[in-house]
Order: sequence, then structure tokens, then C-alpha cells
Amino acid sequence: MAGRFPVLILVLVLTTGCAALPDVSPFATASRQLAGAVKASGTAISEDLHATPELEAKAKAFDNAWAVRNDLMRAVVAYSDSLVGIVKASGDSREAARSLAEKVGGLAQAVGVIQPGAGPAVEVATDTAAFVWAQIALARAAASLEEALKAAQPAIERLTIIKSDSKDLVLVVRGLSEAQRSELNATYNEAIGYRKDLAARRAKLRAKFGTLTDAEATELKRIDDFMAPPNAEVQKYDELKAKIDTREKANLQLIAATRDAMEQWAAAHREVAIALENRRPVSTESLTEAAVELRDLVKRIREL
Amino acid sequence: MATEFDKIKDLAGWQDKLKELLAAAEKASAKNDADARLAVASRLNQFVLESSPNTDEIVALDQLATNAAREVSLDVVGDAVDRIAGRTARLRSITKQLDAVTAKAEEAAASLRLEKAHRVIDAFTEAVRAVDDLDKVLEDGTDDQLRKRLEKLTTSLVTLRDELDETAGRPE
Repeated sequence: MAGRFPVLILVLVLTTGCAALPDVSPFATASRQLAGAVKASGTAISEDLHATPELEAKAKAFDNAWAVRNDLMRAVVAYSDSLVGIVKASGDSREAARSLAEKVGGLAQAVGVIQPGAGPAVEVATDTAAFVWAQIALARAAASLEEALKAAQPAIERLTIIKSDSKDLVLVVRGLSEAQRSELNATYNEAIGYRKDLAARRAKLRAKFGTLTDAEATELKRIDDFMAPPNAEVQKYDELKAKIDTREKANLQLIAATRDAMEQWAAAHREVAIALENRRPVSTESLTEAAVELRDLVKRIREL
Repeated sequence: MATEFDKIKDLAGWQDKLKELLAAAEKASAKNDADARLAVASRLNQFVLESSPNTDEIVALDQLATNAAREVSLDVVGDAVDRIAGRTARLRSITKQLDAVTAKAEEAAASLRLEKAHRVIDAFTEAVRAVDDLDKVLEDGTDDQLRKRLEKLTTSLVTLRDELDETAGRPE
């Protein structure tokens, strides 16, 4: 009987392939960044919708719809974590088996099945059981991982709906920015117009320089004084307009980056499945880069 | 940079330009073309900035242009929000699908960690200890100690039964 153990172990090692499982942790990290980006873009747009009185009902509808997106991303993160969990459990399986074997040994001793002094034999049995279980666990983990990836793939494919969301989010951001510009124009129209009229008059007088009458020369001097208040107003207008432009640009960048990252994420998911099938390592470099870009954009949006 | 407003010289010119822009807005709205609607809104906003001088008549035209630009922009926003909300049910079903896969994957990980086996062995060990304790109390313990040990033994056995039931897949 004892002679069969090495053969059994060898068979196990050969049949399980003994290949390491793919590292899915970058995939889980990217999922977290993606969830953060979806949440950040929703929050930024919701704020702007709520700031527009005519859109109060639409703002509530958007909040409800976006809560479902956030919940979906929660599910995406939990799913990615569960893949990491399988890989980790496979790595920890030897320790789990050893600890279980020790517990079983303790129990056997307590009920008198194992006599004191049988320690070394129990230890060998424990080590062997732990090793065998680690091989079995590796094979089972690979199968579970493959099963999970396959089962999730149709849902991941359907995530392309988010792409359609991106198109509409772009329209929301552009529309809100345009409406904000309309309001800003209306507020500062008088100052801008007054400044323009004064500038036109000043240009006319300056064109006559050298042939100006005394009255015209006095008027030219007074125009410079008159222009100070509208100049200050126009400066304020420029600052507020720049704020609208910057926020619009940052929101559009975040939406585009989130859409691209989502596509890369779905592609990486397919890649993990194929890598597992072919027992080769996964390249998650581009996914990691996308995750870093998203993190930076979310940070920028929060700072605005 | 030359703009479409550069050659307008008088009130009539501004009135004609506004009419043209409002007609373009109506056309884009009728076609439900969001990009065209936003482009017209942007031109209407530019109209307000470019129109001059700021006479009462021109200011009145600006007011019309502002209202139209805002209305067109907010219509685009409202329609887009409606479309986003319209896709929500489909996203809910994807969430359910993913949650189901996650639950199964978590189960697989727990099985690799031998969690159930650990729980059963723990319950067994606890039950054996409870029996040992009871043995000692039966020899020289008080009634109260005996009652407490019996309670402990019962709890241990119930836990063990539950773990075994769960492991065998039977309902609790």
C-alpha cells in the first residue's frame, strides 16, 4: 500500500498539469477603478442636473438609473474578487489541508483512535494529504475559474449597453454646459454689450487721432475710465465661462476613458478565459494603464 | 476668426439671423438630431454675445435667443436621461447574472479552503469535549454543573447535526 503513494502523487501531478493559475488580481484592481469612475461620472452629472431647476424630475430619474449602474459595478467588483478568491484559495489549499489534518489528528487522539507516540507517522500522513489536496485543489480551482469565466461571459458581453450610456452621457454633459453658457450670457450680456459699444467708439476716435476735437479728446479719455467696470465684469464672465469649459472637458474625458476602460476590461476578461484554457500567462498591462488613467481623471473631477 | 455674424450691420440683419437660427433649431428638433440641436444652441449663444448695439430691440432678440438655446439644450439633456433610464431594466438583469456567478465562485473557493470539513471537524471536536466534560461532572459535580454540561452537550450536538446536514445538502 505504502508503495502506491508516490505513484498516486505522480499521476496527480501529471493529470493536473501542475500549472499555476493566471494572476487575476490586476483584473480585480481594474474593476475597482472602473466602478469608481462610473460612480464619479454619475455623481458629477447628477450635481449639474440638480442645479438646473427645469430638470429636477429628470435629475431624480437619472439618480435612480445611476444607482442601478453603481449596483452593477458593485456586482462586477464582487465577481472579480471571487475570481481572485478562487486563485487565492488554491494557493492556500495546502495550508488548509494541513490545518484540517491536524484537527482530525487532534480529534482522533481525543477519542482514542491514535495512540500517543504515533506522531511521526501522523505527520508524514498529514504532509502527504496536504500535498495531494494542493494538487487536487489546483485542478479544481482551474475548473471553477474556467466555469465562472464562461458563465459570466454573456453578461460581460451585454455590458456593451454601457457604451450606449456613454453616448447619452456625452449629450447630457454637452447640453448642460450649453445651457449653463446661455444663463451666463444672459447674466453678463449687458456688461459685454456695453463694453463692446465703448470699445467700438474708442476705436473710432483713435482712428481720428491727430484730428480730434477737444470734445472728442475729452470723450476718449473718459471712455478709458468708463471701461473699467465692464472690464471687471467681463473678466468675471471669462472666469466663469472657463470653469464651465473645464468641467465640461473633464467630464467628457472621464466618460471617454470609462468607456475605453470598460472595453479593455471586457477584452481582458476574454483574455483571462483563453489564457486559462491554454495555460499561459495573462497580459494585463494595458488594463492596468487604463485603470491608472481612470484613477487620475476621477481625482481631477473631484478637485473641480 | 470670421464668424457668421460679422457682416450683420443693423437690427433687420440681427432679426433675420435670429429667424434663421430658430428655423434651424426647429428643423434639428423635428429630426431629433441631438448633435444638430446642440450646434444650433451654441450658435444661438454666440448670437447673444455678438449682437450689438445693446438697444432694447437687440436685447429683446438676445432674450429670445437665450431662451431658445436653453430650451434646445435642456431638451437634448432630457431625452438623453430618458434613454439612460430606459436601459436600466437590462442592466438589472446583468447584475443578477453576475451575482449568481459570484455566489458559485465564492462557494468553489470555500470548498477549496475545506471550510465545510473544518466546520464539521470543529463541531465533532467540540461535541467530544462536551462528552468528556459531562463524564467528569457525572463523577463528582453538582446538579447545577450537570445541568450546564448537559446544555453544552446539547448545543454541541445540535451544531454537529446542523453541519452534517449542511454538508450532506439536506435542509436544516
